[in-house]
Amino acid sequence: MNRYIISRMVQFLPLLLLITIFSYALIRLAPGDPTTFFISPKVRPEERQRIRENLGLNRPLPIQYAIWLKNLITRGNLGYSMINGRPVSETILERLPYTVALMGTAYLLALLIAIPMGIMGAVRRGGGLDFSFTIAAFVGISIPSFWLGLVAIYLLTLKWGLLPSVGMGSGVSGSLFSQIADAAHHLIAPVLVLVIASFGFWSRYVRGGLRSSCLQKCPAPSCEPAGTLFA
Amino acid sequence: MELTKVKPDFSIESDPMRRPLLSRVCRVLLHLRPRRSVALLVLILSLAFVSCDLRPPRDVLALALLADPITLNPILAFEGPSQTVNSFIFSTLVRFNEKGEIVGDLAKSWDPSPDGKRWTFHLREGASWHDGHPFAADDVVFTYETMLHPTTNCYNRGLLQVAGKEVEFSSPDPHTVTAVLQAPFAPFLANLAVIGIVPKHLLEGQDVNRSSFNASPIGTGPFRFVRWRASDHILLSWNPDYYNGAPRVKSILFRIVPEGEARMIALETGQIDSGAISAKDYPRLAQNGRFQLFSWFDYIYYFMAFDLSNPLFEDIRVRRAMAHAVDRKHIVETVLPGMGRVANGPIPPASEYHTEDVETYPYDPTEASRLLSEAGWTRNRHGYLERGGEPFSFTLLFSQSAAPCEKAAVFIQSYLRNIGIRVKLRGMDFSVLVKTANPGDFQALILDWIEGPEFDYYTEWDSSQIGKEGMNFMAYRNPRTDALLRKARTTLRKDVRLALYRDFQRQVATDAPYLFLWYQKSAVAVSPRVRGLAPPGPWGLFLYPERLELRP
Repeated sequence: MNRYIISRMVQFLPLLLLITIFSYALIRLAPGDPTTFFISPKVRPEERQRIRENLGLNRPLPIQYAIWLKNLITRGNLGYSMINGRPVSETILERLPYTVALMGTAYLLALLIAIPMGIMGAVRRGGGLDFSFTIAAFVGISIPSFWLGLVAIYLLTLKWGLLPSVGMGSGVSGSLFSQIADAAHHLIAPVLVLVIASFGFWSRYVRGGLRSSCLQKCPAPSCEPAGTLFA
Repeated sequence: MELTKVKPDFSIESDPMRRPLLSRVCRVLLHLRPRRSVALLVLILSLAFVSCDLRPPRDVLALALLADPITLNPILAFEGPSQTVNSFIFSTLVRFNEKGEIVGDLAKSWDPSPDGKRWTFHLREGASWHDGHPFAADDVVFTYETMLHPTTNCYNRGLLQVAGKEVEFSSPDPHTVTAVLQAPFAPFLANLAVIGIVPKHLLEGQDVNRSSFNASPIGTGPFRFVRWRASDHILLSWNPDYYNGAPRVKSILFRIVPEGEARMIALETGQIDSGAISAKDYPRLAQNGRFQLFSWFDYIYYFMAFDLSNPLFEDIRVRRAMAHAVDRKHIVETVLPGMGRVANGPIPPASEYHTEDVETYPYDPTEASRLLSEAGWTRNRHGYLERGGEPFSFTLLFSQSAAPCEKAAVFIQSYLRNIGIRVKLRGMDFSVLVKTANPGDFQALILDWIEGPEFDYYTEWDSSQIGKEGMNFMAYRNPRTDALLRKARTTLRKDVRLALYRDFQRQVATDAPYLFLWYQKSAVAVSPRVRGLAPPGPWGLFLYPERLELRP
């Protein structure tokens, strides 16, 4: 098992390298460069040229990539933002906790809903419960999340005044307890939207997966499905 | 000494909870039995719903930012959100007051030499940085020299260049700064008024482009930086040692809300205390009466520019005909109801140099047709204008991101079709549009100029600024305006400049190199609990952050 994992990791490295080359090329072959961001009629072209040279953007693209790769391998340095000069790793790390809090909660809740739904649907296939779960799942899959987000803001914030529509928290500190309550308060609406947008997919996935594994394990029609499921 | 002063109690700074929220939650939950942790979760969730007051706490003023600032180093960033936040944290050498006049900030007073090439600034004593370090003349010189340094990635170095040469700064003593210019330059002080002064003791010897200072700044302004959560919020706390008096608001919370509708909802539900509003929302908010509403003309105007090096637009009668053919009043009233006014000249009404006494071109299609036939254009059997077999047709470029420009372009197309001119429209990305704006690369385009109270109109209108490096992209050339502008930018006497710029506006309006479209207003809604606002004007309502107050 360990050898398998290690061999997969080794195979993964060239792939990772290819991905970096591809994304580097894709971003830089698009028209414009990071200094385009600052274009205004009042910024003189010579200033842009000077900053382009400061940033090393005047050098050939493969060399720019090689420098980046060298810094990554020898120093573990992901580079600096061309727009604000901050280390890229820092920019990623400061956003990570929020991504985990939001996506993790949404993922967990969606699975908590989807797995029982999928199992029950698979067990009582074709029954009334399965039918209503199927409808719920397809409604969830079909609603675009950006639209649902607007509806959530309209109802929960504007109409009922229950939940905030901006921010990851109220931004001011308090006791631990009020901090948690505050963060939860700000998480409810986006998590709700993400859960509704994803539980349908997962429940169908579980239902379909159980069906095929059940068929493999239980060829005889007399077999009790619920028994094999949790065996 | 000074540094060992007792630190006042900032309720926000003394935050014991430095660990990330998630790990705190996990810790609490892991130390409880399963049943209790479930109960706690339920309690938290119910509390989250119960604490449904969406407004910020009583001593926190919540403002909206349109985007995450690029950096909080004032010598690197000059875009809106960075400047807004920096104006609370940093001071400048001189500043604008609400009337657009230049007054002292870190400089108490200043005097130019009789030839206008040497300026001496006398600095305020007793100002200190937010870390307690005293402010001195070295900081000012360091700021300007760093900004001018070729390896500094500053796009606005031109603010400190006069006649193509860097201004030379020095500090003969800790309370005096001198500046030596290549030539006398009237807008010099105005340029200094937009550059926040940074601390030498924290930035010296560092790569200023990549310094961690840029994300946790220290200034001399009325508010201290507390924290910046990328794309979410920036928190500032009052500076009790501010030299113009301690602020009355304890904290400023900048919420980053890029989406316009989301900002409106946040404003209407009290999550933010102030927000810019569009022409569309103004009447509704004015009616419901729950906000303090303010509006004013900014230093901005919109125009349609022609490439004057193109034979199509060479004839002044053609340009005047187009001005007569377009009903600009109707366009402004439709596109920007209540938020704009027809423009007739190159200096916006917010500026004291503005004059109404210029040639105007009222809507008059018959006069337009008369001028065009005088210029040799005749209608063909399809109703379009022709001269020597050549049809009168051109492409009008506009920025897709500016909704009013797009709408105006459609109006202009149909008005010009009425007099037989065929206009093709092409919307493009703003940065592409700016790069296309060179003589010979375009025919006509819609753009806006943002200026200031002491603006150097030379950069846009002088014939020496034609070409790739300059901003006179429509290739306007008139020896008379050249002379007026060159004199106005080098004389320090205001009355002389007033007369020169008045003549300049008259001459430009007569030449009609642009089809001037409109002067635009800004409108802002503010929660009734906010007091101590500056008088409404282009400098904004938060011009004096230390005077702001929150009514309980």
